[in-house]
Amino acid sequence: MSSPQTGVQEELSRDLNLFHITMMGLGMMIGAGVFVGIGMCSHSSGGGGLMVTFALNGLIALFSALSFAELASAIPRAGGTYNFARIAFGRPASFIAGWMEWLAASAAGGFYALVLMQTVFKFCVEFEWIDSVADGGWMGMDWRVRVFALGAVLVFVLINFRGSSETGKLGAIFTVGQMLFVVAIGIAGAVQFFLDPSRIENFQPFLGSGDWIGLLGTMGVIYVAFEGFEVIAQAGDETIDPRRNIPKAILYSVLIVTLTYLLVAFGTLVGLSMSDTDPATGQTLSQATNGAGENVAAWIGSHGHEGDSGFQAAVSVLLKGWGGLLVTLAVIFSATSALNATIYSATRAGYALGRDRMLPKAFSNIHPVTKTPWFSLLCTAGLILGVAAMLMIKDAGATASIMFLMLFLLVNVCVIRVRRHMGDELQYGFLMPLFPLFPILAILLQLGLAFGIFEESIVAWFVGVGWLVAGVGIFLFYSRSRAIQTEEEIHVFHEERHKQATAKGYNVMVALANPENALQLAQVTHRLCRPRKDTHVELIHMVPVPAQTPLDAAEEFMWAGREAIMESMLYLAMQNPISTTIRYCRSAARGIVTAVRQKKIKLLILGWHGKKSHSHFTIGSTVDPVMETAPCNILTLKNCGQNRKFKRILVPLAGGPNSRFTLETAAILASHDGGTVDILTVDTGRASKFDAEAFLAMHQSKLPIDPHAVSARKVPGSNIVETILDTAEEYDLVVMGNTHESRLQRMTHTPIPETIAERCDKPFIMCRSAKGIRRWLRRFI
Amino acid sequence: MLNPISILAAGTGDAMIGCVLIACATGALVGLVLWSRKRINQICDSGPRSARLILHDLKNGTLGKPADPEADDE
Repeated sequence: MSSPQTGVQEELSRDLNLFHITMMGLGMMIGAGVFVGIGMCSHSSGGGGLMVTFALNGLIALFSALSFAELASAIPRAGGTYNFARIAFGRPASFIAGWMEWLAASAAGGFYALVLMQTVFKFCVEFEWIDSVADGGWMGMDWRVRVFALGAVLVFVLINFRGSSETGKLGAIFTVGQMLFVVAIGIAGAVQFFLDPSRIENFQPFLGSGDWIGLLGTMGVIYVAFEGFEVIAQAGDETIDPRRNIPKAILYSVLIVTLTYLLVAFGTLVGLSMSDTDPATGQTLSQATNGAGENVAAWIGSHGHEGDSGFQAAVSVLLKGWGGLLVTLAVIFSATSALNATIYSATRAGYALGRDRMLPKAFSNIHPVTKTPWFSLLCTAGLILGVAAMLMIKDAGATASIMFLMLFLLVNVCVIRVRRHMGDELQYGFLMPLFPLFPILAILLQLGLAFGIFEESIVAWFVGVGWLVAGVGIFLFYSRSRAIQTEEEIHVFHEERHKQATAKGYNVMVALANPENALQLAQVTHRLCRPRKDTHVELIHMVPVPAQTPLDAAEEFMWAGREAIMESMLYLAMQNPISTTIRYCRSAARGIVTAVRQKKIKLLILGWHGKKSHSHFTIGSTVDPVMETAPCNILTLKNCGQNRKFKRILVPLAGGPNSRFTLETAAILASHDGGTVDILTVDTGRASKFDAEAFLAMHQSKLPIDPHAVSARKVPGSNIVETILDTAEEYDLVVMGNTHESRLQRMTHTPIPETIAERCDKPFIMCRSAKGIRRWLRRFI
Repeated sequence: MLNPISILAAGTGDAMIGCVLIACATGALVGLVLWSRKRINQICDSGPRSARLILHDLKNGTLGKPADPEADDE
């Protein structure tokens, strides 16, 4: 869409592909649920029951996933269940969906916090850092576990308030790590089984001390390990080709998770033998169960409260001591990322209700600095703290399970309603087969699971029903009269059809951040574009929106960018064809790189304020990743504004891959002002492979400047940085190539170009060429 | 050495029922996902459309094939 006042194009940065969103779903699903679930399930339903539980739960989850996939393909926009319910049944259903989603995510957050701290404490006991973890203190749990769980919640609430969360890439790395870990456990166990097939007896008695009816309850409690794929439906506004990729990602994530769970459950059970020794106690498993004819599943289920730490114990035996550490790390990683994700998921649910005035308006208040819905986050924190302070792990997991089951049930009803009543209006990317068989099956089976939970956790039912009753009361007496009545109150970003930029022209992108920076970028762009007549300038402003805030709330933060764009437009409009875009994104760096790819950009111009934003980055949190991954030439400008004349330009070179591009850039700028370029090499007394004279002779004829205006200069000095900085005092501009050191090398020290860039008082331009094998490869990765 | 199949066969009725359930559930899961993947590609390749048009194409066996411009005129 474009703004009527300015003609500036506004877009969402669609930079998540099928892999990203599948990982997003897997990251939410694979986590503490499975680590705790294996022990709890072994306790109540035996080894065979554990396998049946995972297989059937996977199938039931798939029935709901088919409904999510169909609806998300037809309504590919942010909002997920809340949006589906609103479109299918209107306001009351959407309120109930949002209300249930709020508790579901909050209860899951409390569950993950408790699991996280219980795992850490058990680990401390194993290493004898503390004596023991006593069950039965504060509401049935060790008070220290609860206190630290509450502390963990507060820490993550603070992190969420600051608007930071895992980036897509880091989240994907965590998820892949967790996947590898659980698959490794499965394979380790499977290898034991192939060496000793008699271990299949570990599945006897098949249902342990339970029965088939009891299995239903276990399935209900463990269902929390299968929730999470619904977050993929929330990413409709950020996904490339959402009608195709979102349904695929939803279905793939359920398939991958189920197969992984089956593998790890099988591996855990057959990986152990009753003659194995438990490193924690020094006894054999048989001795530990008093030799009363018990089996491996019973031993696993005998750890912790109703088996909730059984998996940890099993892996300790399987991997001979290291298992405990590995499981602890895996649980910490998974529970940490899941806790973080559930907090912002719950916050967004509260925000959506506030935005549509179904809860007080304060819920939609966004903090002006951190851009997060702070009041909704505060209330969410209260809810999660309540769960973590009052419920046992099993009850917290069961509460989340019941709420998610109800939510999924609602989505299954919605898919039938939407296909019947709006099937001719909506455009579908996927239609499920045998409609409406699977939604009806899902509804019946999920009702069965929900009732099964009654056997396992009556507390969860009380909490769930109480929450629903409270929700109905709030809707009838508050929300109904205040809710915004218009049909399209949820701001929808249309799917943009990107105009394919021509690959023939010289496309230059200028990334604008703030009005102060805008003019200097425009001035340098103007000079750089002058020699080429086929230049097309794309002015772009990325508006990063924290994951806690829906992208449709981003408009509030775009005014600075609009101002910057207008200022640059006025400067550049007379010279080059210009297009302007404001993009809403989760990460400015990822958004810029995606835009570079989509618009076939040849040169990207960035501004830099001159100070490192964080010690982990050599330049800045946005510039660093863009420099590493953008498949085009890049110029980063510091202090180049005020229409300065660049009469004398210094180009320190050392023969790196950016040397030619750096020299060309300096030559273009010098020719504009009739200036000169000096190539500087520092003579440290050590032998150097780079010969500036030869380099100049090789490239001089191709430079757009009088050959006499470019010369090579060698200055003696023992310290390269200090010598360059001293020499730079005589010049109007320093142009230098970006480092070509690896990320690992840069972690140990700041490279020379970046050090000079930070310390140099003169106008400075850092150049990075798109050439080089590594950079060429990155275009395709 | 014991044969896993024979152990299962000699096992309780619970084990037999459980194994059948696991096999059916896993098979159905894999089959449904692969089938759905093919269906998504077919629908998206021929352009997302209303449910009625997609079902019409399915019935005529034209799903996933380029749209006939004359059909639109009708």
